[in-house]
Amino acid sequence: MNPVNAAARLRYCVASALNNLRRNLALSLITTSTIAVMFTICTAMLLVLLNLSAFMQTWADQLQIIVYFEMKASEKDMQRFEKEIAGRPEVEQARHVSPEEAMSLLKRSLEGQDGILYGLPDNPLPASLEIRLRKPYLTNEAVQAFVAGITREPPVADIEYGQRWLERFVAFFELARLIGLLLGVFLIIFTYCIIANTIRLMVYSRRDEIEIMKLVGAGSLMVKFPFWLEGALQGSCGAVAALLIIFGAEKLAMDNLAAILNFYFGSGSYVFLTWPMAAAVTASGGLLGLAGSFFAVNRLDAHYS
Amino acid sequence: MIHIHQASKYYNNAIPALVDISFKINKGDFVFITGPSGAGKTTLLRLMFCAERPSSGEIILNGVNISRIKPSAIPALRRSIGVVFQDFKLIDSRTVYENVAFALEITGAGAKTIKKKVWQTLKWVGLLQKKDSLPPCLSGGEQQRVAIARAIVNNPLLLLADEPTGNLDPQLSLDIMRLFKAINARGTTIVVATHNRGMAEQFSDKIICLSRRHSIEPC
Repeated sequence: MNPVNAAARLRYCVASALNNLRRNLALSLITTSTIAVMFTICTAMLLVLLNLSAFMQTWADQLQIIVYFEMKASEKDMQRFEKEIAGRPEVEQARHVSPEEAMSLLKRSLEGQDGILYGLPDNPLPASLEIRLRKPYLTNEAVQAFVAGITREPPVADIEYGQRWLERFVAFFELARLIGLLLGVFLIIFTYCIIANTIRLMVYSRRDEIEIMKLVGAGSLMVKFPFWLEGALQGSCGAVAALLIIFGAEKLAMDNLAAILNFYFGSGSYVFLTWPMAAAVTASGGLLGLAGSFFAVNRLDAHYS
Repeated sequence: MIHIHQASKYYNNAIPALVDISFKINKGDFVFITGPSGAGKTTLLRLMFCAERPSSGEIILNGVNISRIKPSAIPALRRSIGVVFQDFKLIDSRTVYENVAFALEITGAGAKTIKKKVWQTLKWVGLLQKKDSLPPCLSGGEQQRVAIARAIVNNPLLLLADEPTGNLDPQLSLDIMRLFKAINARGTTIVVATHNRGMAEQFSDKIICLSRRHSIEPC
């Protein structure tokens, strides 16, 4: 095909798609709004999952296993144990905390209320060993395997690493991810159907025009391309509208949320959409719209040949 | 130009629409196909612009066997054929200018070429002053002239017209036929299907008659 002709045809297709959207403005707006709502829900769900994931990562990075020694454990036993632990490949750092240091830390954490400790005859806190694992071993399974490898025999009295909390959180995260996945799939199918049906309605409302196009020699691509563009445009516009809603909501109502999340879950755990993510959401909208319109007009040749 | 050889068309492999039709049309001819309703005039025209395929037989257009043409080649073929219908088949939401330009836009013609050709054609059919009107605002004769302008704006080799005066009064019908005659004088081959035998005899000496038995009979 002559490139000049191809450019002119492309121009015609783009103009035709824009004109058709303008002529069916009400239907186009309803479709785009529906897509926007769907994408808002999907993007919000994505943000929840991203934040949960970021929080899990932050928590994992800060995870430490504390081994409490028996009160009567000897220095020699403790040093032998600590040496053995420090020599393990999973261990990044193993720090001994004496009962005095533990008491000092407790007093500091009870600042202003440390009077409750004054009546104690002796220091009741045992010595302990704070263990930090290397990055590759900061998973639930690896932590559990590491803890299982420590024998709970003297001088070890107890091991603490927030097991229950970790298990619950992992289960919650997995559930949220499953719900997000199911919701995402459902909303994608729903959005696809909305776009496909809208394009079908547009095809139906323009059946005479399509017939005439075919009669005067328009090729299959020439007839279908404007519909594909309409679908892709509606999908992208819906996704962009969803992003504007999400960005607007974040700006208006969630200014304090980052601070709250960072306070409770650790600094850096609040995650928001990045520009590449926003671009990916927009591209997803366009692709979904394109797919919907592609299959909606797929059988056009059979109808109008 | 057109050679139809033993063409037959059956619907659902049983209902005959055309049986064993053979004739030739030369370049520059002005041919009428006449016959009563149901004789197969429209079917014959539809075979010529590949809206239908013959069940058997061959249709040769300009040396190309269009009865076996690939579906992907049909658009290019149709760009060399102009078609005019009884019901005009105009796009009501587009102006006269846009309806005519439409046939050029799909070929990928440039904006300047489109403007020039559409102006020339509308002027030629006498509708330049109505270029911004919408088809529903025009009379039947004017709408048919728009349809003719759209059909000839591409300078087709062949113009097919299916009952082009069926919705028009006798005076407008004569005007349209004179327009066809003028187009034919420019070298375009024209095939008009009509049940109006009198009009056919008035405007052409080459008439193909289809009988109710769907075969050619002497005229």
